[in-house]
Amino acid sequence: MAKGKIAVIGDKESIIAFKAVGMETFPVEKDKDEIRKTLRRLANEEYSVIFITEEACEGQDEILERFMAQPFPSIIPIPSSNGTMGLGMTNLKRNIEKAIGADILLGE
Amino acid sequence: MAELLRVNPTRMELKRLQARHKTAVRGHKLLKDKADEMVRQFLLIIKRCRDLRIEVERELTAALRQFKLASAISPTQSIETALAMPAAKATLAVSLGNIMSVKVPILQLNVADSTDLIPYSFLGITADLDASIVTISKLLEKMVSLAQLEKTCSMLADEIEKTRRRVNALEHVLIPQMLKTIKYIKMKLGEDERSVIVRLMKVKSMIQKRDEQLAAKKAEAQKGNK
Repeated sequence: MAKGKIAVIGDKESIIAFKAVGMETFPVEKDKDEIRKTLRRLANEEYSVIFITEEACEGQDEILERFMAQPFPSIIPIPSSNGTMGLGMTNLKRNIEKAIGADILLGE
Repeated sequence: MAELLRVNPTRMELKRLQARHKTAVRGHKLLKDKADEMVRQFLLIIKRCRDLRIEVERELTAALRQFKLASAISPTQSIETALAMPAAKATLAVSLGNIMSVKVPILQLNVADSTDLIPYSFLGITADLDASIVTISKLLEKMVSLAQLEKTCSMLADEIEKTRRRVNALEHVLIPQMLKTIKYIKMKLGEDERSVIVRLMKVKSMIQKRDEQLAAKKAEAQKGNK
């Protein structure tokens, strides 16, 4: 399969480090519409993994949910240089609740 | 309460319904087994996924913080130019795996091996930056497997939910409905049968009565002739 690229979306400061290790970076401002457009464009291109900083990820539930049911791309929230906001964990928790009906793992 | 299915109470319909009921029960059992197995797989994966996420988040935050500090020392422009042409190129080998007939991605990281990870001269940039880039590139592998695991988790969760809905629909709606309809048809057929018997008995008694009357008349006529 040709889909094999990795993209990183987020604020410039956080993602420039990923450029050095060979991922493709797409700096975005805090504008939600712009982030959504970038996400949609990348998802339709040959990216199979899109890392997105948690800050940029906020308020993009609709588009995240749409790609949830497909194998590609995986859109994965990562912490930015300002530290984690726990968004990734929230997603995990949501998945557990969806599958089992109650959070039996993360509540420890 | 289960509604009746709208069917004609005939013997043929009964046969058909009984066959459908049998299929539904078998399907229900299969789906339930599928859901159980998927939940088991899901639990295994989600545990690994959680551990990995905690690890990645911790290490990545540290690495990014280090990077930020390092880049604060040099002017932004020189950092940007230094990193503008990365020497490494990370790509993924992508394929599809199969967990309980859920298509999940399998990602394999290929880092195009270059002799040197650092694409700039050591002169202008601090050593801290080098170190943080090395850390991040080591983290890359973990991040990719996290991506794979999280995707697998969310797809499995989706499928589990769907399967459970189907199981519940079969168990609480379709199967009781069919059972009730089967019972209804059986009752109806029995009722029809009884009413036929009663009618036959009635007809028989009427015929008997008529025959008796006829016989009596005949006997009387014969008596008069004599």
